[in-house]
Amino acid sequence: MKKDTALKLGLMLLGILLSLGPLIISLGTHNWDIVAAVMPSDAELNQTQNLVTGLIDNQGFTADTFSLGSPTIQGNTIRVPAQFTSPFKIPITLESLTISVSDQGATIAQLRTESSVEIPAQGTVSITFVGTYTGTTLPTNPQISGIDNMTIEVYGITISARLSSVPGG
Amino acid sequence: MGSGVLRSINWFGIVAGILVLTLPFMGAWLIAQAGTGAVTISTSPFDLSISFLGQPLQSSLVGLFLLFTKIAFVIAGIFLIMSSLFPTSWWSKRLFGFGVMRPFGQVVYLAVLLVIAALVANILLPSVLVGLLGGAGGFQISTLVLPIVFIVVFVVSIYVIYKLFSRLLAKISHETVKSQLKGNIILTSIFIATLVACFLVYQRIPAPSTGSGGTQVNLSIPYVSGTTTSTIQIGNTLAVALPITLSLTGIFWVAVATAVVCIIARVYQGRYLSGETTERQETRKVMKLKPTEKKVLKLKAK
Repeated sequence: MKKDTALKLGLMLLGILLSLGPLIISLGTHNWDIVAAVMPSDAELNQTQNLVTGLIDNQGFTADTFSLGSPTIQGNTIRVPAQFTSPFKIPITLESLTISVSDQGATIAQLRTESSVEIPAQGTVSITFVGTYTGTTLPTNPQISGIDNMTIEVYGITISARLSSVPGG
Repeated sequence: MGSGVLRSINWFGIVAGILVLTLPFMGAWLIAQAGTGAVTISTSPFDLSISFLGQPLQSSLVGLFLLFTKIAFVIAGIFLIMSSLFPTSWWSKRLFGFGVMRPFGQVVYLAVLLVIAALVANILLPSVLVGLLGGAGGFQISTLVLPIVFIVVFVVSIYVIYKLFSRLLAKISHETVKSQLKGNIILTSIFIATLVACFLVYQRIPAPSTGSGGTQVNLSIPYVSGTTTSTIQIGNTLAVALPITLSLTGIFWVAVATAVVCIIARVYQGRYLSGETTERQETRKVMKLKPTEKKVLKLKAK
């Protein structure tokens, strides 16, 4: 009976040790600071913060982000080839991008990317904007006057933003 | 080894012991993902791996808790094997009881934790996020009432399920088996009660919360397993769609099988302890009796 009681007590103590041990050890090594014991280390948090803040280039969208080529017209459809340099420091998928294009100071059309395109980190890709154009002559100096909508996919997360900025403006 | 000795071994206990011993080293039971690698969480009662955009995040306290759970399972596995090899020894019952219900407890604990976490996230988090993003929003009365509804339904469900099981239990004549099953029934009742409470509360979840700034948060986290898409809309300027995937791995089902084998082993061991051992104890008692007392016993038996 005594042996059984001793074993019972021993196992009970073992159970308590296994349950409370990690709490005591962890708190003891973190100067009894529960927050420090639970939270990841400062180095890990800093690295994570740098990851998030470093996702986009410091300058963001600039005049150099897009460079438009010579437009072509077929019926009332206008196609403008463009080079897009991603300001993102991670690979993204550009799902869609809607821009306003002006020529000689006047907005002439709202164009949208023809298809989605995968862009490597800070990579440059060729894209084609398509839209309806009612003018009779080809624009001579097409410029992006504003980015209206942009939908990108980053790490499987779809982000749609309505913007009204003028690149470089 | 003689056939008598082989027959006295609790083979279910041996299998359960080996499974309990190896379970901590098999890998994650559950994998949760937000997006495709934006946030990845692989977890089991023995390991937790969180990575945010590929950057691992660790908590010292959680890590130690998991390490100690691993150690507890290793000890429990060894105890199970030892007590199954010598089921009639005086220490067998204590060592066996130390770890036999651990896998079952962990399986139920993980499932209950997942359901409650999903419920809390689905009901409370949208209001909190709207409050943070849109300025207004915050908690709604119906949102605060829901946890109370959950607790009431949970307690009532446990009572009803336990009563139902108890009726079934009354039909079992073997006392040891009955007492051992009682513990399992309590845990099962808690699990079923959680599911019932979650289901009933889920029916009352309000429409996606909308703050005064036009911020709309539609948070949807799968219950235990599945894929959902949560959305956050801030006015007309920004919309974010976040797919969340929760999947139970094959190891979880190995854990379920381990829990089942442990329960079978427990029932089997119980029969030994109450049957064969009691018989031996009685024989030993009779052997210790004086010749006159033995005669009295024989007369009584006649």
